[in-house]
Amino acid sequence: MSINSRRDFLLKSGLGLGAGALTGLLPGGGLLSAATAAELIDPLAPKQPHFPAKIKSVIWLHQNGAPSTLDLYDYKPDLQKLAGQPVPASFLKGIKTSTQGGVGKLYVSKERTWKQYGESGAWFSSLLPNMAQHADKITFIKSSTTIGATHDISILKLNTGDLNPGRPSLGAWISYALGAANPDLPPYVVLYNGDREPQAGSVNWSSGFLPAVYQGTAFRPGDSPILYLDRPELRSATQQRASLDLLKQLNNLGAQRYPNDTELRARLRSYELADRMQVAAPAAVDISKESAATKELYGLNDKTSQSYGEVLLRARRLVENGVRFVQVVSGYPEGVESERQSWDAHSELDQNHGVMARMVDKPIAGLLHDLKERGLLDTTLVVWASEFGRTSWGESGSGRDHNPWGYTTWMAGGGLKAGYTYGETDEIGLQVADKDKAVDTYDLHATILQLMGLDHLKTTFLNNGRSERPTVVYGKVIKEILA
Amino acid sequence: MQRKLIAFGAMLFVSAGFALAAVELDTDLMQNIDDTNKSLASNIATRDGKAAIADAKSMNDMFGTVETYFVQKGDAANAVELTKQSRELTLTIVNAVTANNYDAATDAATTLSRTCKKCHTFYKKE
Repeated sequence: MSINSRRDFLLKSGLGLGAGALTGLLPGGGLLSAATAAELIDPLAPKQPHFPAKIKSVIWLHQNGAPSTLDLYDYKPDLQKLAGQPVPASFLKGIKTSTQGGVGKLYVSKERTWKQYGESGAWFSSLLPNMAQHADKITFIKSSTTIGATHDISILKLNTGDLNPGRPSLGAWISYALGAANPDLPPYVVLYNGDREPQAGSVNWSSGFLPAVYQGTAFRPGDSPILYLDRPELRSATQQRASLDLLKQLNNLGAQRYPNDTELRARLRSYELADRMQVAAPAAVDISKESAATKELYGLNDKTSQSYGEVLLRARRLVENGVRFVQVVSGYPEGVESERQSWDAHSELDQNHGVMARMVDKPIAGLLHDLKERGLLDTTLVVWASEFGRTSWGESGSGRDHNPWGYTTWMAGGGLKAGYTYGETDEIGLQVADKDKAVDTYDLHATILQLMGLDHLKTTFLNNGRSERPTVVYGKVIKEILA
Repeated sequence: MQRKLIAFGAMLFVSAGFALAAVELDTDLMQNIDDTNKSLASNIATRDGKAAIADAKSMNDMFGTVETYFVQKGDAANAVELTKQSRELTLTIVNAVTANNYDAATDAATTLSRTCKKCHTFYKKE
């Protein structure tokens, strides 16, 4: 055998193995079929779900810093009565209170008032007057639980299901399993407001061990959300097309030599996507033509809620344009001075939550109303999620510490029992009352995937010989909340 | 004769002590269970029946050690119960895989993982 033919043999064998390995790219790791040929050429080609989906898109509202859901949704009359007293030992059974502030005395704010709203009678505090008007659209999970008590680790778990970096985020799994609904836009977009990127960073919208093409695309806040999107004036469209074609040819040569180089495939895809995005994306994220009434609906007329409102308005436009997963990370309003630029109120909770609630209340209420009016709420899922909740006891005299043992998450949209509450915390809002009803991040992910038409147990990827799934080895669909 | 009895008694004491010492829950054992559990989930997903059954049986043995530990420790009735459930689930997995029912095996394996997590809520040391 000559050197050339040996090389040829190795190359062809490699390609054969590569094709075999690529079967791992398919949800369920199934055998190659006619439908998958297109997927191998375009990894973002639309793919069929496992069963009919209830929703087309998810708007994942990560409330960064962990709000005190005890001060927003989880009304506890006994906590009001016991405020100022030490935590009764019976409530601490089974939890390790290794949080930085220790266990202080039970705390309630004197500024808070509570009221029930809608036919469902869901409780809302005076911090969320606008969202309260949508009580009957919301499905509360008041038995959320997680692991860890530091932000970065628990944020990672919220988004990827694991405490260590390296696993794909939920949005990446959805992009991988379903592909893009709109070929001119990325299927997974990350938005945030404020003057800095979200803490803990891009690992929270990473594709992990999935091919890089499935990672989230971050759009900046402000008037120019996509960096370098516009073609330079001195360059014609023909010149740009010619150089992109040349680049594509060169990259394709490289891709033929290295068929398993997913970074290269992602780069190829991203150049083409960027070219098409120059036309599609500005329109998708341009909110200037929205009516004054819509802008007011999202709170753009209030300095505190303006930046978050703009982001949610963009989220709605992206969903309208077929983006499957919009991950929105809450930041902080511009022009408001504070050391804590998130919901992380270890002290001065009233002041912090006053600002943060005002930042999100009207925009989220506006989003729910707008989606409903446009007939999009039936096919969209809005998720309020945080890395954990906050303790029933006070910290620093005016704040609350981290609480991974029991807090509230909610969802609103297609396929769910609206105006319904699942699970509860104990009488002081510290732990999940019935551990069998505890909803961990894996369960939340499994339920969202189910609504997207995906069986979390069958959404698999072969990574280094091991079959991986979004819910690691856990996950249980919360069937009780499904319509 | 009396000396022989004392020596035998001492041997028994030492052996019993050794046996007691052997039933310790070290991080290696728990890590091994965790690793095997992940391997089990993967082997069920890829329908590698032989490997899945080997993993399930191995986990059954390891949960046996965990159960003995909690029985000896005392005041850990729910840990003993959860460990028993885990052992039963490993047997369910073996039976399901043997019957080529991988959906049932996946469900049992997921319940097994949740059972581990439930136990860790109360007993895992940070």
